[in-house]
Amino acid sequence: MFAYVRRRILISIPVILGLMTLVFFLMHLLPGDAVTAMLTEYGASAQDQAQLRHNLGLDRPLLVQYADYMEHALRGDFGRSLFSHEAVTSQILTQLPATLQLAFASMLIAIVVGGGLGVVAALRHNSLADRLSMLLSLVGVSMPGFWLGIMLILLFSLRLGWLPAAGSGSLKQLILPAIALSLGSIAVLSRLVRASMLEVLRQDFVITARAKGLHQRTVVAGHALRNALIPVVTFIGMQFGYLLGGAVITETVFARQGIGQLAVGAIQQRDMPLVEGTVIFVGIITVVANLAVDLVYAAIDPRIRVTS
Amino acid sequence: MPATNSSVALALWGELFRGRLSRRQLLARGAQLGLSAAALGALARSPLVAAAEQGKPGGKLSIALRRDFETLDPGVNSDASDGIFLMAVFDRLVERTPDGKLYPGLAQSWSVSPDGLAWTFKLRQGVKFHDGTPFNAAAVKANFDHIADPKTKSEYAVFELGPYAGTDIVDDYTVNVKMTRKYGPLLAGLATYGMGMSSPAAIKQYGANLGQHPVGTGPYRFKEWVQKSHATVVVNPDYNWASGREAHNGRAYLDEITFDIIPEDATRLAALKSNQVQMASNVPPADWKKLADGGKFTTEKILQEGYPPAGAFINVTKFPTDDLKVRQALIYAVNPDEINQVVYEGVAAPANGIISTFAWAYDKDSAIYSYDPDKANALLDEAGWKMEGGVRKKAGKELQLVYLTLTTVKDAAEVVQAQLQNVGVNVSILAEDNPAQQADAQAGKHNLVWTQWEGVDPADLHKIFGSENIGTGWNFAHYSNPQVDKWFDEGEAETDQEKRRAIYNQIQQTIMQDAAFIPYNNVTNLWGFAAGLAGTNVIDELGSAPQIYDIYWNKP
Repeated sequence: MFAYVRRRILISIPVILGLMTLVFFLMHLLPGDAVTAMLTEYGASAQDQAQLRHNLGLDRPLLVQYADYMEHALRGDFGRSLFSHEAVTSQILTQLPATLQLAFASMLIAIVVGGGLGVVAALRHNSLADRLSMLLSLVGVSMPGFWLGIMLILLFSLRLGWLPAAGSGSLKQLILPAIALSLGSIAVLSRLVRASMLEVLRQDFVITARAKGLHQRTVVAGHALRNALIPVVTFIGMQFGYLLGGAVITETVFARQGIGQLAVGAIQQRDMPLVEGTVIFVGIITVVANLAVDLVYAAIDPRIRVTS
Repeated sequence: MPATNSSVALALWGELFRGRLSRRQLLARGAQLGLSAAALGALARSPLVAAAEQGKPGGKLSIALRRDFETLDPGVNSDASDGIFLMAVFDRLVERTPDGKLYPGLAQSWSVSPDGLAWTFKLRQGVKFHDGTPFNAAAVKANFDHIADPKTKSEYAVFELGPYAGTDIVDDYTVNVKMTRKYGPLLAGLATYGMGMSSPAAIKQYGANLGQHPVGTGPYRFKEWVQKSHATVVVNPDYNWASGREAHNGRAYLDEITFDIIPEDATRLAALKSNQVQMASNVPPADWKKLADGGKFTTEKILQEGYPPAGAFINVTKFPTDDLKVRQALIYAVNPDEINQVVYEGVAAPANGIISTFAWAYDKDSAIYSYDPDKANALLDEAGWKMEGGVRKKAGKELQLVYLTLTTVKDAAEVVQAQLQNVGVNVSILAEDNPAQQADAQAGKHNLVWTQWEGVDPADLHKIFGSENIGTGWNFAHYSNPQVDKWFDEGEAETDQEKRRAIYNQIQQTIMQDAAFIPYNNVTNLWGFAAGLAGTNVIDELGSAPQIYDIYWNKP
């Protein structure tokens, strides 16, 4: 098992390095560079721009910049933001807690609500409850997160005054954004759980369990649910990886800190070290999330065992 | 029963006392309500009015801003909206108001040598940085050297410093700032937020991290900056002076100020309305107009100096706008009033020239165009473009323009597109975001490109209309005129303001005659405040934000 994990991690290193290379050259295909992005209000003479580009090292040949960056990165030095001059690592670490909070909170809501809806829908297959759950799910996935976020603010912050409109420090500030963000996941999860449960409930071993006289709750929770979980675990793992990459729209609407808007801002500003830093970070998260998903499979399904 | 002079005056004074009106607004309202001239005069001179205006110390304030700070090192920063913080935590050698008037800041007096190569500043004494370091000549030298150092990678201050050659310390409170050539705009440059003086001890201690640890001499001290979330400053109780451009001197009023970063317009406004913050920047025009109704909020409209103001550069090298008559026709065909009404709800003010109409260097004789579609039609006919079924044609080609714009001002582009269609010009809109839009403008892919520039001195026009700035610089009109280039050099070398004015008048008139720019509007920054907040009408040096130094709570 340990060897398996180690092998997976080793394989992911060239993947992340390749990702960094791809991003570096893709970014340079975009028009404009950091200096163009910096000087959007006062303008600057051609000479001044050339001077600033030189100071920032942006006038060196592309391959030289690439080699210089990679050499530092491999030694763990991810450089400083071209704009704020702050170390990239510390910027990412500052934005991380808010992202973690939002990802966990919205995932929790999605699992509880989405999972609950899915189970209810499967157990009461084809009933009104089933149809309603699926309708709710359709509405949830169709609503634009941007619009929903603002609606929640207008209702709960402005009209009712129950919750703050913006910010990322406190629990109260987490509630609305977590709800807004969870809707998409609730929609998908409820359908996934429902479909998975329906399939499992038809299986022989469920009929056997019922025939043994087991309580409905034991059948569902103890046997059916566990088997239904496999596609759900896949989804949760991948969704979590995506969420940790940052939910940009939710973060922007609710004025939250987060990796998403850090990354998007860095791309818009052509802030190369910061872009690469967030790419590495998201890459690592994705690798870890995929690995975790595989390990959880093994834990819940004895038929799937990892071999080294 | 008609209201008498005295009852109206009393009601207005009450509004002033409750902080809902500034003195200026009070007099305007009084005139509107029909107060006699004598009554207005008495009201203005009333000691009660003077007493009501005296700020009361104490209280906290939360301000919602649209964007996080780029860096808190003024020597590096190039984002004008960070000025609200940098003006409060730092002082500058020179202070200025947007009409060009200069005030003594950390420098009490200054003079320039006859050859123009050395500026002598006599510094204010008894000032300390927030970390206790004394402010003196060594501090000034440390700051200018920090700004000029390539390792600092200054994005704005270094350009305002001009042809800087070094600083000599004459004595503890006198410096000679040396230039490699004569440079008239230096004093205006020294008054920009980029020239805030940092503690030399902090510069040394923090190095590249100075941007997260600002230490100035200003009326507020830095407490913390949680990136993308908020920054906090607390009052500096030892602050005991002011330059004269402010409304008071000595200690600032508010005890603590938090800047909350809320990028989304609707969320920022909701935060103001739900009292999560008490002051908000960039209120959308439609909301801003209604905000003061009901008395719970007040508003300010701050005019921002532009060199040029918002408008469209005309690419003078690209067909068909390489024809002077076509360019002139375009300016006559555009109606800035309509743009102002449709896009800005009438809140911006139409511009008419390459400089904001209220800046000191503005030349009203350069305003040679007005909205005149008949003249536009006549010029296009003269240029050989004949109207055929709604669009003009010449030698089989349609009169077709490419209009490059930012996605955020696409609506202005659409208004202009319709206005130009009326005179038979076909416009296709290319909407991009920065920095792509700037890169394409440099490459000259457009006939028209929307832009707006801030600035504090007409010398900034050199970056915009000087021929060496085509292609790699910011000359989006691709305008090249050797006579104008010469005038730019003369204008920069001249230090007498009236002589400079004459030179820049010629530049403005020539560029407008050559029809290189279509003026749309003066830029306005719209702010909203909780009622009870007073002193919000003193603005910073270029017109982007109120000075928080003069703001106080005026609740009964």
